[in-house]
Amino acid sequence: MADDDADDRYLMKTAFEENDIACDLRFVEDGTEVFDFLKKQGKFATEDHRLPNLILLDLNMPKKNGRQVLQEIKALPDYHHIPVVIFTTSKSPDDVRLLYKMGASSFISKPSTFEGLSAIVRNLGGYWMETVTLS
Amino acid sequence: MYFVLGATVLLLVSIGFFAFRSLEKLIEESNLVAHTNNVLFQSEQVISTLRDAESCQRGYIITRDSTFLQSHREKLQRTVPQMRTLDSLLSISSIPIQRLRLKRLNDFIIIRVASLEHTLAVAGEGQSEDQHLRLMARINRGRATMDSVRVILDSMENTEKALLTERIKQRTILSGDTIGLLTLISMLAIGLFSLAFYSVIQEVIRRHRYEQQLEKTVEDLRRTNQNLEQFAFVTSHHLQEPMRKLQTFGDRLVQKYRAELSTDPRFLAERMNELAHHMQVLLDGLLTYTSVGSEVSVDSFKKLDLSEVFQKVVEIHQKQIVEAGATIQLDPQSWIIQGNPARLELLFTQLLQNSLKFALQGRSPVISIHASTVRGMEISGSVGKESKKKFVKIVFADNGIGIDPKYHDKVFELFQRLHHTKDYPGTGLGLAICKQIMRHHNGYIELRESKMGTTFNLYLPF
Repeated sequence: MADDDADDRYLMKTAFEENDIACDLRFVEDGTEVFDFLKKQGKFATEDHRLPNLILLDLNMPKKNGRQVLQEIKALPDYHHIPVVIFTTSKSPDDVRLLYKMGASSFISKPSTFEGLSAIVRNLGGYWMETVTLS
Repeated sequence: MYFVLGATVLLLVSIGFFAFRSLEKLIEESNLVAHTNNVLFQSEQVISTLRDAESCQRGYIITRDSTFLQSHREKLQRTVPQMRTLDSLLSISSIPIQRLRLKRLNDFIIIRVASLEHTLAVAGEGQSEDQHLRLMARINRGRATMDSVRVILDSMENTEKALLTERIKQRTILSGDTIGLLTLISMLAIGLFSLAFYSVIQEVIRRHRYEQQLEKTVEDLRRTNQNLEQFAFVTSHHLQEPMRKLQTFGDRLVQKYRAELSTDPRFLAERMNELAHHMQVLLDGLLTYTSVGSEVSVDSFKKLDLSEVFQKVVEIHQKQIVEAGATIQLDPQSWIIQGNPARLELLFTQLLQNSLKFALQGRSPVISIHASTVRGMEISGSVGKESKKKFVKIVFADNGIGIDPKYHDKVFELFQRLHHTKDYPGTGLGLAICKQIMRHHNGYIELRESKMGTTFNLYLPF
């Protein structure tokens, strides 16, 4: 998950734990770190992890925003197969249309209650880990 | 400036008038001069004819050749039309004494002609000494008469010559005056015209400067407005983020520690959550309000059927409508206009939700919507230039609690509410959003007084 907001990262982590989603959830804090993580460079140079099966991407981030990140991922042959789910505060119809056009796999508005977040996390787990087959 | 222009025109007209009058006078004077010359010429003619007649007679007396006699008679006859011409010339103008002189001249000429005839008769009688003496006496008497003629003609000529000199002098003065006057008036006209031209140019420059200033002001205003819209949008957008988290954390606190919290702190936390939620709704509304008014989406206007848009809104809210037991009466004809479908959908959604929300207890809601075509002048808030434009008028009516006429203007203002939140929940943004959408479509929305419920008139231009 790429999100610059510590609160959102904390809430997401809690929601994953409380709903017993069996997955290795990793966080990056801005747009450039997405590529550091994928290419195992910078602060991720020493880490040992596989390529993610799914990316949760916030739109409003410093250095490189979510739109740029999505565009770059979809332009790189090594990573463009990874599904990207947009997870953002924005509800703008223009944003939704544009991001699907750019290759986003889903568009989710951040909910305003923890209960809502839990429901989303359960759905995400059910869909991406149990329903569909990931590469 | 108008005074100067008027004065210039007046001056130009008077120049024309004076020029015409002066020219007329000049021509008159010239004619008089020509007339005097003519009189002089004619009187000379008379005297020379008489002289010719006399010399012919003399030739006859000496030679007795009849051709001289023939010529003599012709000359004498010629004096008659010559005298007539002179008479007519003097009758037109000239001084009275000249006519008197002419009369005397005429008498003398008659005497002279008679005496010439007599001389001839005497000459025809023979060539004796006695006859010769008589002939000589006649000739001498004729010469005396001729001298008198000469004297009269001379005085006539002198008078006419004096008249001529006077008239030439008059003409010179007059033409000199005319030229001076015309030059003066022309100079004045040129001066005034230049002044008028200058003031017109000044006016044009002033207006041009004013126009530029106005353009700049409009541009500044547009930019300020844009900044304001941007500000409202960005603010409500950025306030959403902490609001959302405030709710999430509050919600988490109440949910996770429900068992550990006693009633009082739980009540406080729940109130805080409710308020945070209300704030969120307000921010959402504000965001909608600022985005429906933005100019950018004018490009997204397309031809659409308003009744289709309304039908779609009804379908989306089918569940709510059924729950409220409401009846929708929709005019089946189509109303084609140019508009933004998403915003018009939002407009009808707001109106429909209002009608359902403000239904009268114990009465099942009836919402009717029908349309007609009207001219701009029928709209109370319309601007003059739109009075001839054609509009679709949509009457949206319900049988709910209605709105007191004294609040009819107020309800379209931002955050204006007529009821307590606990009675009718809401933000006070719904009708403000409607008005903003109508404004964005160059349309109008107004409340109409009705016996029952609320009736909105919506006007959208074709």
